[in-house]
Amino acid sequence: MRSTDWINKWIDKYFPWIKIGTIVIDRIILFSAIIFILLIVYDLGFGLEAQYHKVLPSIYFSYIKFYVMISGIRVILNFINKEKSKKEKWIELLLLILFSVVLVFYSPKTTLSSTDFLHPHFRIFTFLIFFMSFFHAVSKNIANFYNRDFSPTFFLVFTYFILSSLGTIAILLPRSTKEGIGFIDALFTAVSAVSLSGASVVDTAVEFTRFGHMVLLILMQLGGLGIMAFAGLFGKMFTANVSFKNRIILSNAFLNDRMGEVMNIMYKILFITFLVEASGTIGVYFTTLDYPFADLEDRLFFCIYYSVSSFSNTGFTLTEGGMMDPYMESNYSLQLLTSFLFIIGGIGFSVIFIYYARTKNRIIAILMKIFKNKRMERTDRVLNVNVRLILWTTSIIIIVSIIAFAAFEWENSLGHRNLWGKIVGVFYSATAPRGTGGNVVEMTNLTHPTIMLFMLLMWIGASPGGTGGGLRTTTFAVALLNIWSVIKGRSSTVIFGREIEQKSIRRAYATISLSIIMMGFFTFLIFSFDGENLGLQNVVFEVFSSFNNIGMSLVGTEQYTPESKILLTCAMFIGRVNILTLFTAFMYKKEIELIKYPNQDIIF
Amino acid sequence: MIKDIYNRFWRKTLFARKKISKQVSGIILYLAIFFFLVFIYDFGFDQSPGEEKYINLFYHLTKWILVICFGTRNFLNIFNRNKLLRVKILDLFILLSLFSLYIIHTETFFLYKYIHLLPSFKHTFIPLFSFIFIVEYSRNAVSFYTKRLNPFLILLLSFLIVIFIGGILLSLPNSTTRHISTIDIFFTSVSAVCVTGLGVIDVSKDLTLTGQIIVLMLIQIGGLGIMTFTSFIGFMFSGSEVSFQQRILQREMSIGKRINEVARIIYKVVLIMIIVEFIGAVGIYKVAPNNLFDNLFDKIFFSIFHSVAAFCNSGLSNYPGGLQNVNLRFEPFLLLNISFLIIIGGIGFPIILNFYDYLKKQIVNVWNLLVHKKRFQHVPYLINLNSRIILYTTGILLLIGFVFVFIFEYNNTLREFSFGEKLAVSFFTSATSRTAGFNAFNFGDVNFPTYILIVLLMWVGASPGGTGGGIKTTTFAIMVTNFISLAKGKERLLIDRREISVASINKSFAIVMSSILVIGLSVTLILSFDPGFSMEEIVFEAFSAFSTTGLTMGITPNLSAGSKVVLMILMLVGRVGVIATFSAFFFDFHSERIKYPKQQIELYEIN
Repeated sequence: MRSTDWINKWIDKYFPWIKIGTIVIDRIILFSAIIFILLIVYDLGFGLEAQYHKVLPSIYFSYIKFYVMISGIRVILNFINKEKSKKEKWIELLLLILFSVVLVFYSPKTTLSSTDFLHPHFRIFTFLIFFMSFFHAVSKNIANFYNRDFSPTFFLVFTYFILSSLGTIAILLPRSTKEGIGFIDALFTAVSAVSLSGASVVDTAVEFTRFGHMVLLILMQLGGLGIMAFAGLFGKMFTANVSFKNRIILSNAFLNDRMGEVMNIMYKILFITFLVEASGTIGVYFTTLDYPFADLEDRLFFCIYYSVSSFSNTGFTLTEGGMMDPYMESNYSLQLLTSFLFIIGGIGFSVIFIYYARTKNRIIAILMKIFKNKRMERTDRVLNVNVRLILWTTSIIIIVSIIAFAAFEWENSLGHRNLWGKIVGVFYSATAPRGTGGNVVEMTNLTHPTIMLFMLLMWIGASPGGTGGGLRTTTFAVALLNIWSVIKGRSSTVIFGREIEQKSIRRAYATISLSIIMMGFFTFLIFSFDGENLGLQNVVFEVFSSFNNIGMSLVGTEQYTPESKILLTCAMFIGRVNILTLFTAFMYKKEIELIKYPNQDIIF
Repeated sequence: MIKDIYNRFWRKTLFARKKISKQVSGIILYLAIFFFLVFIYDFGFDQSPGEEKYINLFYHLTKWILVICFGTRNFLNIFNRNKLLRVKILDLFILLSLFSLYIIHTETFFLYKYIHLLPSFKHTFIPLFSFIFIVEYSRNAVSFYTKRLNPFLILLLSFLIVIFIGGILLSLPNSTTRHISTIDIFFTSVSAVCVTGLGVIDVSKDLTLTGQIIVLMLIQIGGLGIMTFTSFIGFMFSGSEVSFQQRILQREMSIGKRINEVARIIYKVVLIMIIVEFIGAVGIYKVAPNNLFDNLFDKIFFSIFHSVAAFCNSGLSNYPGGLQNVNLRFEPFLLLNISFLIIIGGIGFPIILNFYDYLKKQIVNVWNLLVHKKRFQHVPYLINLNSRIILYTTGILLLIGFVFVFIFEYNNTLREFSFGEKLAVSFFTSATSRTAGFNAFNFGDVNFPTYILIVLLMWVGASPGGTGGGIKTTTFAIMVTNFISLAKGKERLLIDRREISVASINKSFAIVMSSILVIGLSVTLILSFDPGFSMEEIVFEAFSAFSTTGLTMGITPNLSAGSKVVLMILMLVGRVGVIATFSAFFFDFHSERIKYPKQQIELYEIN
């Protein structure tokens, strides 16, 4: 008793120092992780010559040693730190254990040859751990960023800018591509991957090496996680009307730790992504059993790549010609699986999370009943209005687009398929323009109405907080609901017994008008470079596809001039960060509105 | 004593009198409709003598029925205290003129031998009957509005009725020089009434003078706005007060001022329109070269037609090839004249009225100063926010159009013009794109930047309360200011220290979004009906039709029937407004009683 008292006293006395120490260590870990990631990318990307092989292992080794040490100190500090949440402490302990595993198993003393260091598995494993620790450090620091009145919009734009630049550099590395790639093409591909568009100016399946594919995989994954993270942190999915900042203030007031909150959301997102992608991978594995892969590694990589690409609504594949590869085109179960993956990815993680939590609760309830004979109270039966709106809008759009697509294309571009193939083809083709942008029918065979339908679907896009693009289903729904209430002559727009806030309507308005203006602007510019030989329809389609991060193309993006490619890159980037966010990032000025001005009606 | 009996009679027969009065109105209205059909048959086709006999008999019968009806009505008027004197006098006047017509044409009449000096019975009776018809229709139209009828439905129906009548009139053999298919006839009628100006026929060649006059009338009615038109006449001839709903409708339709001024405003609108069109016609007459016309009448008709078409933002021309004709396109002053008419017509009556009032007061001031030696009174020139938005937006759009058309087309379609003419043509193109639809060069040849610019200008269109179409300048202004103010992080939308009302923002949003959806749908339909044309041409056509502009890249006459129908619907919807069209069927009169809790909707990652 006495001794613990003494310890507690001591901790209380030196608590500020412990806090500072923790922060310093966090920073060191963050920056060293960044440096290590850069190093490993450099190493992998350039395929360093043999003379470095002796130096590199020791660099890696000392790095890992340093890391283990630092994490060890952190874990020790955690024991005496009361402010940290248990979850965080556990994660930090896990990281330490993982690093120790690397240290023990790959230490030059335990292994006979230093070549093990150069084995890709080792590097990938190390890379993954470093990435985890990087992710952990970043998610901690986001809270700090926000605390300092760091504009989240600017943060979003900045993050995607950094990701795209790093992606470009990684793709430009000699080992990423088989025969080298131009700067514009690399930039285009990187932005396409980060913005989850999936448009390609080179056939990534053929031109890129395994390392290049890994780069793309990471970019897609980061792009998707980023979007979900931003939605989770700065959106108001979970907390109906309490803003993030207010939440932090509230948390402070109740002496909860804000880091815990941020990390909680981040890890939830990570976990859900992992869960869906893992099941996707397994699904892909079983649907592509008859595909002749070289070895198991190839097969696994294919499954993971494909699953991530579908879930993040990007649409890159490892087969030549994308989904139009003869094998992929005839693999109907794979197409169906893909559709479900990108629909789940596009529906937004808030919806997934709510259903995940429900399923979990239900399973627990059943287990409790069976094993402990206890009845659990069923909770959260009521869905958030946002979630309900997303679900309704998405289902209606999917049904309408399926009917329309089937009506236009049943005997046209789907003519050669059997009935099952037709059904799957319709399902895939009607949902793909709202997300992944893959095509299982010849784009050149499509009828005019289908092309217009595709453009509408691309424009609407997926749901907020999801990995798809476009205006978002909710924006579109708010627009239509508003039209309806104006037609009815009502003063407020009501959905599910809730009046839609004026701010949301204004935002939807701004988003829609800006997207039209921007797409018009891009069409205008790209047409002046490529209009003569490609025609308006192709250019408009391309702009719709790029701006809404879909990645479809009627004639193939590689046919465009470099100027147009740069413009399309800009379109993808702006489309991903959302043009209104981009403007807000640079124009936002906090203003206290003390003056009340007279109201004014406008005639139309 | 007599007064007592009179009062008792008045009270007891109230119900009966009302019923009779209603019956009489009904008879007259149905008779009028039937008469109208016969009249069309009579004038549009050539008849055999046998048929003519029946028609004359019908005219005489009509006359008798009318005499009886108006006799009854005048008799009832004596006892009706609620009717205005003006109305009673009008009824009496109609009865007397019917009688005089009857008397003049009987053989026992002492001046019968001089009858040949007067127009024939038919030619005196028909104008009189048309007059009666208009009066009756307007009265009934007014009584429609006093009932709880959906005003948007009336608006839509009015357009449909005028289009239908216009179509029938144009399909008469005497209106056209050659056989024209029904769809083309109705297309022309829609195009004229909706002041679009898209043409599937050549007005100058395919229509006779009668046909051209009919088109001119349709343009005039369409431009003025049918509601303005009917309520104006209804106001002139109706005994009852203008209903509240009608006033509301007026405000929706075109006028932004206080509602109790509506009636007077309509009167002013017509007056101003006549003045402006007259001045415009004189201006065109002055600048149009003499050698293009066969005779004076042709030139006068040309001037009037173009003045009306320009003021109403129609864009139809009765000169072969329109203003693109080599004889006309090199007349910069003609083009400028028409441009100004277009701008005045498109800027909306509220502003013109504002300016007119100001000008009138100033003139009175000057008059007082000169004649009565009174002191000059300062007249404040007040412009409300709406007018300011309209003026700014119109000015900016005109300038943008002018500058960019000049730059983009300098070496392309403007090549053959001299420098001064280039300026004039650029300005003209900028003005005409904002929903008039005249063209001084072929729009099929423009560069793509110009194309996009013109599509944008067409889409934005003219100002509310004007004769033009589009989503309107105010809508566009709200759209732009909305996203700017949101990006700046402002909670409310302020323009010139006025907070824009929630309803206005929502309405402008609905207009923008619905316009895009409707245009998109039309493009899809036209593309599927006519896959042969490029998307460029079809998009241009759809925007042109929706905004009732009438510019074309030259594909209109070659479209299939389905596409033409789509364009017709698009023109009508564009003229009436997408929201108003749907409101015609779905408008909810019940006020909302329930207040729901507010909910923010997730739109993007960061809200």
